[in-house]
Amino acid sequence: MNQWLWLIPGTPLLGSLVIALLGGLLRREHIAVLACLAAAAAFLVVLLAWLAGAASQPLQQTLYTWVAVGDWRPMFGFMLDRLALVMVSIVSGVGLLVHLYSVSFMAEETDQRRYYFFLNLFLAGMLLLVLADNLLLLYLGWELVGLCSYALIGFWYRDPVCSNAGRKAFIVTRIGDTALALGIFLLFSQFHELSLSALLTDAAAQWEKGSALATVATLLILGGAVGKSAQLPLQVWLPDAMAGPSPVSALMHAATMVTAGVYLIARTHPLFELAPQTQWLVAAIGALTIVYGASAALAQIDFKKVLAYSTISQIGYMFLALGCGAYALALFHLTTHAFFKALLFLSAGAVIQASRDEHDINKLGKIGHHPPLARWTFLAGAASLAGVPVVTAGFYSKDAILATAWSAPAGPLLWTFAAFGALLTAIYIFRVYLIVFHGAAPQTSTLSLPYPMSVPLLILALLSIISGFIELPEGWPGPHLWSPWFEEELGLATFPSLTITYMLQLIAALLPFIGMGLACVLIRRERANQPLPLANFLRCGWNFDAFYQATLARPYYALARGLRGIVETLLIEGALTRITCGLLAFATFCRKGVEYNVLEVSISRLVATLRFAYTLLGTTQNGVLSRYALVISTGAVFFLGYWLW
Amino acid sequence: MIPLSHSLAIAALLFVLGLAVVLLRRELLFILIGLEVMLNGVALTATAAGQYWGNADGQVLVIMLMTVTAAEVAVALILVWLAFDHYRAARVEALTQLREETERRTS
Repeated sequence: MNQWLWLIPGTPLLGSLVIALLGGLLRREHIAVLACLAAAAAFLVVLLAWLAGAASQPLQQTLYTWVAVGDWRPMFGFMLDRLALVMVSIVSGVGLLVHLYSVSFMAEETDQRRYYFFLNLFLAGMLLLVLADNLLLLYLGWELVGLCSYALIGFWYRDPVCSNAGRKAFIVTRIGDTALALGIFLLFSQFHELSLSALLTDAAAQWEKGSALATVATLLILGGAVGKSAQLPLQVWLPDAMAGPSPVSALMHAATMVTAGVYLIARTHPLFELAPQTQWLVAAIGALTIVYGASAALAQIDFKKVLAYSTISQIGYMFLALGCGAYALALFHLTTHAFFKALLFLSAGAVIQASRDEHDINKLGKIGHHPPLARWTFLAGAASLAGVPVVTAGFYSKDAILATAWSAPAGPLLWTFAAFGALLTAIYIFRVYLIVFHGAAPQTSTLSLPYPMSVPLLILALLSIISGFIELPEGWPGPHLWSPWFEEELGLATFPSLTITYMLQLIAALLPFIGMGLACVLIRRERANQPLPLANFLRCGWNFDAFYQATLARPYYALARGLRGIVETLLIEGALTRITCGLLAFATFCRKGVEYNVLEVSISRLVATLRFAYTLLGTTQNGVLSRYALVISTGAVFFLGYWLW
Repeated sequence: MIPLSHSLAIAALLFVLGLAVVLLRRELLFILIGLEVMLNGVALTATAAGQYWGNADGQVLVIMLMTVTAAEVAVALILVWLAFDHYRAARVEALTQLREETERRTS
């Protein structure tokens, strides 16, 4: 199995290359099928890896030496341990479903070649990121994901909103990427090594717990993760990223992009354990982001933006878990979140497409006529997101994170944030569900979805419900498969004492129902034209955009404009014009000088000299015979004298 | 036996006298005479040298020189007569046709 590892990122990459290079020869439908096959092949290889025992024994493959600089030779190598295995399973599985869904969803698009090229490349980049066994290769995948996200968010680039959203995503994540790159440089300068396993052992051996270097390195890595995973304060790109096609949003939120930050921190967790302050910061960022995302989602009008803010807030849970040292639980939530968030996006996409690209939830509610399948699957996803107890996967993963947060430093505070976020989550998702699917119009629609759309929805709905049963909450009888399986690699989460855990579980179980009730109240108030207090503030995502616009973008523009003014007036107007004038004068001077002074004068001088010499010589030709004779004899005497003496 | 230095001194005297006549006199006939005197100086040098070295070559050269001079004088006298016939001039100042006749152009 080891030598087939390259196929996992290789097949989507190959698919994208074939589509890019030979796509012109294929028909539109065939391109879609080809892309799906590439994704399916990757998923198949992942399944084979499970069968070949990757779950118990890490697989490794080194393709070739990527770069050779002196004694530093980063390899193009892959490593498939349990963490990577879970990630590639989610990425390739959800990626495959999204590809399938796209076949129908994007059937009417004209530019399928570009779409599937980037979709496959996106998948390849994420798989590369997850499988990389050194930080350099990881960074390659990281950047590939960033590039594809830019291209896919701005897929409908003729619409300036879309292309701006793509650009914004690219630039904002670039800030994080720069931090990550600096972090990698720092690690390299310290250990002269980028291979993950060697690096992490070296770091654990050489750095003391809480040392300044470890803190700086982890802060830089955290910067990268915050950018990619859309956490505070770099979360602004994600809501705008909804401008892209719905399958792209599903892929980005569930599998390929925003989870990269969580993966990165989980992968480098030994470093974070050396820097407790940073780790606590991770948890704090997570907790704040939970409340931020959930509260902003409360007031959204755009269907997909609700889900976008929801993603921000759910990734916050993962960060909270990472910050509490519960890496396995973060991964657990990542898994369930991948399922239900992909489901929510895909069903929302189906609803939006069925209503002729209407994004406004109030209008969607008035239109009615949503495909019933989309409605029920959305409900399943919403229940899982809200964490409806016992029956949904979201409950199990979120509850575990809530419980473990309590035992972290300043745990009750973090827990309060997280629990408040969970309450808000239930409110906003049921608010949306009720507005869209229980609007004014009666739900009598019998719209059916084509199989490529309905099958992924059903699979994801099923997974959103049952995937939680592999790890029941702490203290419950029943299977506990997830955490023990990860214990070797990621360690175990700590939980508070059993009584407190039960108490917390009870509260967490009640929150969704309270949220549902509050959602009903909220809708009634909204229908009576009594919006939430601060609704506008929340809708704009706490005015982060305006804040950045005022504090960063506008001074920057002003600076640029000022500089342009200075440059134009001083440099271009002043210097360049002067230089041009000077050159022109110089040229005229040269022309005149050469023409009138040098050429004319020199030629006439030459002529005059020649003429003068000629007249001088001419005077000797005077025709006086005796003079000639004299000259001859003088000459003869002279020569004779010369020869004789 | 006359020493060589005496003969050479006389020869040089003859040559210089002849040359002086050529340079100073303006009449064509006198110039011709001067030329003859110069040639005689040369001939005297040749005989004196021949006698000094005990060699006949000098006297052979003198015979040769006399022949050439005779021919030369014949041609020269005809040229002088033709010049007088054409230009009515017996003096060299009149014979300046080959003089450069350029007027100085001002630029």
